[in-house]
Amino acid sequence: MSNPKETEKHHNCPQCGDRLSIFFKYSKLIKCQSCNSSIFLEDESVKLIGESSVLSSEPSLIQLYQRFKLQGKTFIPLGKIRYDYGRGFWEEWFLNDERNKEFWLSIDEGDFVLEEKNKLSLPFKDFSKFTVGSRHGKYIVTEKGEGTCIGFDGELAEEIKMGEKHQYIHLSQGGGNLVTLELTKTSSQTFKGKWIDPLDIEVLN
Amino acid sequence: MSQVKSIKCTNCAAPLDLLGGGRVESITCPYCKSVLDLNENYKVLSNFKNSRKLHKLPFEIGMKGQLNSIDYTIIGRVTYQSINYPDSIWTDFLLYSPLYGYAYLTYEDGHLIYSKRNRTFPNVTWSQLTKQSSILVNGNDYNPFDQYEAKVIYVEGELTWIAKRNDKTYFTDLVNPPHGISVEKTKNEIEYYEAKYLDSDEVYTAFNIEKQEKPKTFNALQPFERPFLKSLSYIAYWVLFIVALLTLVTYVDGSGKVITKIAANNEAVKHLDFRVKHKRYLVDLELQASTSKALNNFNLQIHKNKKIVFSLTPHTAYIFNETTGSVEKNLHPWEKDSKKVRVSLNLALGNYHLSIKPINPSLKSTLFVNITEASSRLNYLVWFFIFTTFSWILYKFYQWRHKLKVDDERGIDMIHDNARYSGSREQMTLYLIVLAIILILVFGE
Repeated sequence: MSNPKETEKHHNCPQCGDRLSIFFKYSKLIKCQSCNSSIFLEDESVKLIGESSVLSSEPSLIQLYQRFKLQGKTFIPLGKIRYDYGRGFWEEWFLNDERNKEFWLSIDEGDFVLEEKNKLSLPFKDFSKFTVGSRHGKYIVTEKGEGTCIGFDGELAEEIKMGEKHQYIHLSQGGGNLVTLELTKTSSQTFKGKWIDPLDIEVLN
Repeated sequence: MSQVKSIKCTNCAAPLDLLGGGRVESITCPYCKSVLDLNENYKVLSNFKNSRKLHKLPFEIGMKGQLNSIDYTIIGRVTYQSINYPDSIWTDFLLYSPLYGYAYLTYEDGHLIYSKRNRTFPNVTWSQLTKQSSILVNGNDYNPFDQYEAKVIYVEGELTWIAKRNDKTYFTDLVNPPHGISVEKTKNEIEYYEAKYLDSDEVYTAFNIEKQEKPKTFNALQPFERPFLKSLSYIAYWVLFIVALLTLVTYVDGSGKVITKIAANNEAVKHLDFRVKHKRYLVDLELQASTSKALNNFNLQIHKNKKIVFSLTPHTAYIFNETTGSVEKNLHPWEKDSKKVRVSLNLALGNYHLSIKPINPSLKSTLFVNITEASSRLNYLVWFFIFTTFSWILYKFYQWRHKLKVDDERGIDMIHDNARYSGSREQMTLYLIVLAIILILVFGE
């Protein structure tokens, strides 16, 4: 596979002036690879939105901009967000496939879920109303948890807020099919996807 | 890289290393055996003091090894005792890999089973689990095997949940050896684990442990293993195919062409010239008389270019080297009570001279000789065929016996059991009938 191509957008970091390599044309948030500043990308301009932060390097099967194959598709990891839940963390990887379709890969200590954003509407979005084991139509609540956004790397198609509390609910449909409801103070999003076996991931050189 | 974190035991102040990632919820102090809750500031929850010696096993916390191409560290263990069958005790070792997460290595009477959480199990309720004859998971059919309750009797190291003495868990095991699904139900949740029976020697090597005695008991996930017979049974399929093909080819091409026929009697020596025109297959000499006494009254010789190439008497049979004239091969003479003899010779193309000489000219006897060329023999293949078919049936027999053993050990009675038993018995009977027919066909002739 060839290396990922940069988009035609050209911006420089407002903090250090270094050129920002942007690989996804709809990216809204990018980490400067030189000074680690978080930069918000507006239509024709760039805006520094936070102080520099560096995520500690942890062992991971996938790496930023290193393509991998899964279920017959080739994905490129463009960015990742790390959420802390006290004794550990999980990461949400922002991926693009060959057709520039957006995916999210959640990795939590050996548990991998590949999902896409979904417009599924749930009867209520109150985190406390979901109890593990309860059934909602064809879905069963299998897990719920909370984490704090502690940083990101690469580029993302949406803005995130450092330190923001992030709640999630896993609704299982059986057979590995999953719906995830993500809630923050200001927003809620639904994702639909599948649990995947990490041994099926083939990292491409 | 992730680092090993260190804390102090809140009971005895001993330093404790945390090896197992963010999901670890409890740790047992290796010194005072107190179970500490990581969610509640390492509060002491339980104690397993004085029980370590009772539960000594080849695996220890902190050991590293590779299973299924994944590098694991043993971070904890929990030993269960079945409530229904108190003699049944097994230990789950919790494995941790920073890349692939958590898995279990189960030790039971020397049997070793690897299991990892399964997320693709269909939405089946606990009570439905044992009511279905099989459940399809990831393309494999699993049969319900047993449902039982067990309690925690010993804990060591780190666990991703809080395990206290006598905590109860309900298990349902589904099997498709060497794979299985273990469904575990606690107060709070139901979890599914995909299991695989492992070769114990390979696991001990992977964890750098001295090889242990092979398990003597039976395990439901133990695969049926007869590698030699299995290979032979596969060969048998091909042999059947090849023999069928060869028989067809022989029927068309190698059924034999009669060169000449001759009748000799006790009154004079009979001479006959014949010519071999076909290079393929063999030349058959068929000798026939009305009685065995009459057959035993003749000697027969074949010459080529005035040199002997074959000699046959009631007591001897020799093939000679055409150039040197020395004996090349000593064949078995025919049975004394035979009335018909068939000899297959590999004769080169050319002209031959056959002479038939009576031994006792006064014994009234007639010998009929048929010479056929391009005649094939499948004797050796038939023996090979019998041997491999027998191996195949033997393999099927052992497989059937193994299946009966698994069914005998099962703790769940299925609705379809009777039909299945009966079906498997009928299948085995059919195999034995096939073998009997083959033996009758071959030896009957």
